[in-house]
Amino acid sequence: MTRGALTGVAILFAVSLLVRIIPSFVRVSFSDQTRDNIRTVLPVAVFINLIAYCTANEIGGNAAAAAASFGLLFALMIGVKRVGLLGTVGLASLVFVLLKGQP
Amino acid sequence: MGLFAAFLVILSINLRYIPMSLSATQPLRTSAPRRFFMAHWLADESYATEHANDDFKARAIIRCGILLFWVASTVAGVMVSSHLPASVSKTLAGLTFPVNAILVALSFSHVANYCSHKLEARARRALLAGGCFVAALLLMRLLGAKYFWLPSIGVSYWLLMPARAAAVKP
Repeated sequence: MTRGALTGVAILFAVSLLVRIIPSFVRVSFSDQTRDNIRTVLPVAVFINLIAYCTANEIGGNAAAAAASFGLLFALMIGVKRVGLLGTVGLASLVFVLLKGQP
Repeated sequence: MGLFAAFLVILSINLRYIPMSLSATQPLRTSAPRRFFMAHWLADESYATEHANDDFKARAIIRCGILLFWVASTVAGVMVSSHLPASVSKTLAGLTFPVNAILVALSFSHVANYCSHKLEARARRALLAGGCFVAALLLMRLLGAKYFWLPSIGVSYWLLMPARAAAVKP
């Protein structure tokens, strides 16, 4: 492994230590309500931001293709659940690939 | 870019894992070594796949499985890519939509589940979730995609909390 690769691994591990490992060992006395909120509300807050980040990322790259593909994805998830997760993502990805080359 | 600058950039991109770790790994009742590895293996995909009532074993299978598939699919991708026709390679180059789509789909299913909870009016929760989404986009515009995570998650958490508190009021 090259020196650069080892440096990259070291940096990534240091980041993981700070953002993943240390928070998992934090022992703070939360109230029951706060503990419940961390378990139920915080994940939803994270998921909404993940959706915002991922959609903004793709729309920033190819707005029309991304908008149409995500529109199809949400429509299938809400309206045609039997397509399943992989089918939904597959169809949306296919639409994206077909549309991204269009002017 | 210097090493420290690279470290800061990577750190800022990954700050979202702090609240993820607090909600998905910190509550686990397990030994320190197991907690260490479970925390290190936390990823967006595992966070979106796990459920609140999953036990340690289920979470370990999900996180290890995703890690192993990452490695296997990367190796497979490198092996296959050398045999692909140039036109296909060109189409697939830099294609990140499927990865983002699966994250969006998994995340959306969790948000939809939250909005459909019978404790409170669906419309109110859906409206709050929509408000959080708009706030996230605005903060992303203001702070950039690297630095918006913690402030935006904090804003979303704050917006969603009154809805939750109102739902559990006796």
